[in-house]
Amino acid sequence: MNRSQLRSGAGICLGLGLLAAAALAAFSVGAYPVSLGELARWALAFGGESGLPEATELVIEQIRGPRVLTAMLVGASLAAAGAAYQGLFRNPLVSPDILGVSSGAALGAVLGIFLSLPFLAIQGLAFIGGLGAVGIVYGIAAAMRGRDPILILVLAGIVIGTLLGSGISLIKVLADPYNQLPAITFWLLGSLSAVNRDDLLTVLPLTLIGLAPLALLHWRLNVMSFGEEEARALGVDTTKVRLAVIAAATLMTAAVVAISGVVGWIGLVVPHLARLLVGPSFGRLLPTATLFGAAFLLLVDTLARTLAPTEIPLGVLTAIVGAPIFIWLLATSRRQWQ
Amino acid sequence: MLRLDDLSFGYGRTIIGGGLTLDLARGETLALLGPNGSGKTTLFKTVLGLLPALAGRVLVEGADSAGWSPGQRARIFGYVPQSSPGFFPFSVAEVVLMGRTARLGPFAAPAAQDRAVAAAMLERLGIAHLAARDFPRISGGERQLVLIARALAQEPAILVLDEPTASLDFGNQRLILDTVRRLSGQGLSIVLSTHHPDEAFAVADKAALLRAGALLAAGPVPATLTEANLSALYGVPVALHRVGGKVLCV
Repeated sequence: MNRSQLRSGAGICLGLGLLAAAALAAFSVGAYPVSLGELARWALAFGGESGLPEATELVIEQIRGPRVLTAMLVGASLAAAGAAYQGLFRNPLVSPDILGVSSGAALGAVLGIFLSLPFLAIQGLAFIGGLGAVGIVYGIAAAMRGRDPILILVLAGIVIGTLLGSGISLIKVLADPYNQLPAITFWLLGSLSAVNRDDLLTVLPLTLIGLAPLALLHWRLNVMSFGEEEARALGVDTTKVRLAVIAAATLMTAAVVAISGVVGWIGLVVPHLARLLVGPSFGRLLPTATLFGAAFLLLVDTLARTLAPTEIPLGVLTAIVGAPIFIWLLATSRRQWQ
Repeated sequence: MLRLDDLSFGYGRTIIGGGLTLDLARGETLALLGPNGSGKTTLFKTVLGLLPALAGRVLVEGADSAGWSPGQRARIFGYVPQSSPGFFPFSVAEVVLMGRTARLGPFAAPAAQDRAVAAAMLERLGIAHLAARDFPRISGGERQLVLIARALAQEPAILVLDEPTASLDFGNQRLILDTVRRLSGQGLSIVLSTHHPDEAFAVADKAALLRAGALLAAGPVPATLTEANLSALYGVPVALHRVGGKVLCV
């Protein structure tokens, strides 16, 4: 076993350990505390007769279970998409939002709330909005052939993101300030308070479909970090790989943002933490970042529902936790990005 | 081996050069010389298929390379770009391993045999001791050797080096040129661009002089790199002197 395999093993073990610890904490703390002993009895019963009070089983299976799994899924997806994008765009400041997926999803959801559509329709609009925004950005970049495709993608993403942002602002101005505006604001800051088992089961296959190409293309993504021309000269069909990675990352991000709202910082910070531990090679980075992202958001969501009498929006907490981590990363590992 | 047939090249609709016809036989080394802006890099990119040919053909063993996939090209051409530090801190061994990409299936990762090839190429260039170092943190000369090792890991028929000695100190320039000569001696076909006619005398069998996108002269080095041709190429008087078996340009 060589050094990089050791690092990779250590990264995955640490990720699993963090995830397990976060899951235990998430299941036990809250308005209805569940002790670790009760959790163990429930787990050992494998869904059979555990002898626990009905209320405890209800909390574990119906309330915290879907929420814990959704938090893991959202965190894992955002971190995986962020890790892929940072390599593809060769920029440490890149997050899954760079091509406008969050702005598009936000506009879709905000429109749904404004039109007083049912919850499922709001989620559907968010998902379509996210895919649509990235589709437009990609279309613009593809139409401008012969120039640096990565630069054009980023610039088009910024322009479309800003445009969609002004659409969101317009709807906020027009929205009913007592019913709709708080709902809009809450959605824009992200929350898992309303998720249920159906959300989880709808989004899970979409994120797995997105994760598969990233895992399959992991070696080519390493080569892509040397830039368009070098990667092509090394035999990578950069146009196809870029399209596949963007489509995969967008599918994952749009799917999870549709149920969680906009949760920033995870896709930016978590890949850096993972890279610090296991190095830049994407085959090791992807599983580590995915586990770290799952643990990170689960921890943040647990804090969000327990720190204060009312739920704190996720986006607020991820920013408070993420910003210092990112500054620390800038200070300690800056040289690695040169 | 390689034949450029009435090739025109440029970016998009901007034609930079045209009407180029050149031949490279197996095992030969061709040096491309020309002032800044003469189109050397654009020509290289067109030969490598990074830019489409605007007219004419790039023939490899008589086959037109237009429409080849990047993988197909990378199994013929090993490209050594001007040294870049890379973006992430990949190890030297990993960077050389990336040269195996063209020999892998689209979803495959390098296997033990690819690692063996990469290690052999580091050995071949005498830089096996760098394997575990971070690529962005080694010196410019070492980086250039690593990029040559990466290109060799592609197991190419033709090695293409874009100004391999630019931005290197004198010692490293010598090191790179000696390496190029050694690889040529091992039967590899090589194309390199350079700003120094001395280097062409030192390593090349053939030279091509590119001025404003057109060939001023091309052929065997002694017949091509004449005082008259070089003076015309660079627009300044050039004199050649023989010192101890080497040709120096003044």
